[in-house]
Amino acid sequence: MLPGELFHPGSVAVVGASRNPEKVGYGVFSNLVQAGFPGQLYGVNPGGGELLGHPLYPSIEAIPGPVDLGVFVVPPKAILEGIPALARKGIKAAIAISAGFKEIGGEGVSLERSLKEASAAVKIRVLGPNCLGLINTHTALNASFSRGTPPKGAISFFSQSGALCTAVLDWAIGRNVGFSKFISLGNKADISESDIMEYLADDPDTRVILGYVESIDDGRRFLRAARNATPRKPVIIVKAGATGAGARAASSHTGSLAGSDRAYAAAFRQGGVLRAGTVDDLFDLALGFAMQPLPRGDRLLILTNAGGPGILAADTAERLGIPLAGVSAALRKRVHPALPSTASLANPVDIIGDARADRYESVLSALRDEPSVDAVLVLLTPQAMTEPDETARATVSAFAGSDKTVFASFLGEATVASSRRILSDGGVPNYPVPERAVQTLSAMLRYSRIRSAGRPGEEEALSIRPGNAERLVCEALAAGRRALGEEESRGILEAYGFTFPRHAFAGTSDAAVAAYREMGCASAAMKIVSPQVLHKTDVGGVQLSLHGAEDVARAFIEITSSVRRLAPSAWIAGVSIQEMVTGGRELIVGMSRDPQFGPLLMFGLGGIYVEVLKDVSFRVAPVSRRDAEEMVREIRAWPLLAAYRGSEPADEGAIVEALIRVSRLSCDFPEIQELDINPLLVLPKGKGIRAIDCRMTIAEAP
Amino acid sequence: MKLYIASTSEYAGKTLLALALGTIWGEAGVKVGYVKPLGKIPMMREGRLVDGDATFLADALVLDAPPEAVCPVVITQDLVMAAWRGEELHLRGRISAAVRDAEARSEVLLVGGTANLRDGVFLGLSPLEFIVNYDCRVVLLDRFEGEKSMDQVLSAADALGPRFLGVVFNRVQPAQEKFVRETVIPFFGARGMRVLGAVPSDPVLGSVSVGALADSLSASVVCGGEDGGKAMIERFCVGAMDVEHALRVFRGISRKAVVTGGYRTDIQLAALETDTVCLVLTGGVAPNELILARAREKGVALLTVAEDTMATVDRFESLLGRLRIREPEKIRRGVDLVRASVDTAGLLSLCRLPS
Repeated sequence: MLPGELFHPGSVAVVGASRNPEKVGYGVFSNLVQAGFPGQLYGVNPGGGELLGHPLYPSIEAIPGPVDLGVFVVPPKAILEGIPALARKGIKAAIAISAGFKEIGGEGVSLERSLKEASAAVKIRVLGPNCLGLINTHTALNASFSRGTPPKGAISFFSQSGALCTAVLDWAIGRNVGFSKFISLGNKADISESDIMEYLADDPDTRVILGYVESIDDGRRFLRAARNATPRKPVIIVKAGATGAGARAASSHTGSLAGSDRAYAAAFRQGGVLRAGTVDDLFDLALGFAMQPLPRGDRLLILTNAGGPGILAADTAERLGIPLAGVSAALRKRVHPALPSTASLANPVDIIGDARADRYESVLSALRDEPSVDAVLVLLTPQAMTEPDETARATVSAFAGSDKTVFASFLGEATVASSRRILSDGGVPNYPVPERAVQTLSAMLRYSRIRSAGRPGEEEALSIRPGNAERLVCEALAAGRRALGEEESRGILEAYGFTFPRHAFAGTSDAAVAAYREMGCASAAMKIVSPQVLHKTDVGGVQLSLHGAEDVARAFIEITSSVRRLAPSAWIAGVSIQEMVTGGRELIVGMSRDPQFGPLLMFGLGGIYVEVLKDVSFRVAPVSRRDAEEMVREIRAWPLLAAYRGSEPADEGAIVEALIRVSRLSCDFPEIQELDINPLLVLPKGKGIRAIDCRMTIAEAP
Repeated sequence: MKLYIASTSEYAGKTLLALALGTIWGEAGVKVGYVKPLGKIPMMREGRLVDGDATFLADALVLDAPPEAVCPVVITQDLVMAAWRGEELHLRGRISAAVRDAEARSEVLLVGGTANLRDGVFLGLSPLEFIVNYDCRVVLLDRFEGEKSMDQVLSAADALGPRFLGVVFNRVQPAQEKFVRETVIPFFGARGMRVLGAVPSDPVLGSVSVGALADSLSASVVCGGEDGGKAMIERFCVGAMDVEHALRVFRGISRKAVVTGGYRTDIQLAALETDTVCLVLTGGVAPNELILARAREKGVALLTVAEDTMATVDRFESLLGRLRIREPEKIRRGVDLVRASVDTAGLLSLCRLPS
């Protein structure tokens, strides 16, 4: 937990306060002064003297009173010396603004480690280094070198990029958007986004949490912090490095391996975090959440003075699954007298181009208490008769204090500029195009669902390692094995309740026929057994639906010959002959360990669905039953499993169970780096699943 | 009495077996000598032409003999040209002097053979003729390769006749062990041929040190060169894929060197995330500072080469799996493996039997 002194200090010392206005040390001190910080302010500068009416102290030791928060604007080595000195003055938290740490590599890396150690030794939490600083508008604290201080508000923003901090700040000041806290994370030597999220979740001055991250070092902690915060307030994050190119850029920039975007997407979803695709989206959503109450329901009414924008808004709504409210008879009756006969009373309600503010007003006031509408989007295109400012005022006053969720989109620029200001000052977010307003509503609806769904129910991580699995994993590791094929990994999965079809090993075609006869099954499958062949079908190592001894003998020759030809260096032990399971659908269940988030489960329908269409869902393990159920239903091909053209529905419960078992296995055995059960056959409801083939990669657990 | 160590191919493990037998029998109080009639790794040592393998063995077994007594003939460019020109070579006298000398100083004389039973014929030095002329017993080494081994061992045994004491299979993969035990050994046994041992393939023996790798790649060692770059690399892989796939591949390979482009920081980070001994950055690119710091932190060696990835991989491929045993760690390991998997005592008593 972060110390309160970081955001609510009674006294602040700026080490490196400078009288030279060109220097960051001046900027920080002057921001503290200009923002009107009410507590004690100490500047430390070896030259002494005075700055902006405050005395400068020649050393930390010379500061006369106790200090709560230390702000460092001096070179790295001076910070290392200053931390223990300020600790003796009582600081609980420090902000290291200076650069010259990990981001420069080489010596900077060890300096950063020393900073971490030095602060941990005196139990001080450090923000930064290499950051812009921190602002808390509610305590008039601007401990940053920002240009200006944003107005007071309910949005808090943390960012791994200092530059983005400045941009958001400038936007906030320019658009007069109120902010509560600005936190520039810098190199995250100590305080991370998870610490900040934890703090802001409890912060009464924060209603909306925004964030920009490039990499998250401790993914599992982030997930915990997100799960704790999102039931209480929305968390909206832009995650940079979503593409291969972006991830590579992030890697070279931050020096940490950017985990797969799928892992981030899965973790955000599981943590209830709303992900904004762009910084624009982040602003859009922030305005909606900060200014408007969460929608009570999803029925949207669009009010417009022109057809086009109304249609665009309706399109977006339908695309995002938001139903347009039906215009009730009562509402129709109330607004009808004020409208010309050419107005349309369907939804979008089009009060046509000559609508002045009074026409808007009569409809808006009727909407205020209309029970069949949950959200209202007010569209305005500036036409000859239009009164943008008056309409803006009418919108603000019509919904003041109402529980309707209201957005505006006054299109254009020159004639609507002042009306936008009226809207935003009045608490109605305005969007330059209607689509963005509808997208914001959609995000708010999604958040309502996240909040009402509550916690997903943690999957208990029992960490019971079944004896058989334990033995198999340890033996394989001791033998120096890393990539385990079906023969070696089957037993591990069996220990976790997976069922494989009956099978037998055969070294010759005669033995294969004998095994087939002994199994007494009508139809069999045959697969090559060779430790060097992990992708059996690629080398002709699999044949299915073998009926009768002749078929089996022929398959043996074909399979072994094909592998000899296509993988001449592979050692062929023989084949595995399996009872053929029919009447099921092929699934793939996999796990790969993400560097930041740990085991990442994957689910999809086998064959082209995974390989070509990439129709797969991901979750970070451990997964709860609800997570597993969502995973199954999230894929686009889900209807094929449910019931398709009269085919029997698949055993969904068994799939969910399988995902939970793989989740448990991955958590119990950190040695397992990757695993694939492919194909996993799901049979009709009540008949369960069969693992047909599998492989794993293991390594010594870290 | 002389035991000729023959093999069916190059890199079958003759030097290792000689080293192990010399060590193990030496421990049992047997005076073991070594001679290599024909050496093919010429090198200069203290101004004298010596054979690399023979000199190594002479040092390791502490044979107190001059180099020309351990390896009387080393194949040099001059010798090859003389053979082409059909000149009189006068090699047999040198060999017989060396053998007589070595024999006098030992109870069991190990004779290091050529790569197979043909090599050396061009110099008029047929291995088979040597074996007969000097009345050697023969132990045969074979890299186990399924039915190919059947061909090689059967034909060698046939050529050697009663002098053939038995075969030692080397580099038997774990998956082959059961098959060797249950099928291969009984097969040869039924034909009156002894399988004296099956040495498992071993990652340490197949490994190369960072220092040796840097040498053979002409690489600059950015970090990890401390104490001579002793860390051992067992496998290598190329990082030319997307980063997620890279993690997948890298996790499956332990104690590896990763060859990748100098600019691929994502791949480099993925490699550092997994069990990696050495990063080889190609293209003459200086490493990213953050990568360097991370590599130092994790104790991973970092090499840079001017060549591109393709050319570097070519060099790698000619290196791994065809390594000569030199490093102390590998010597220890090799001797232990032979001790555990070859019937050395049985072989000694076979040598001592009257012919």
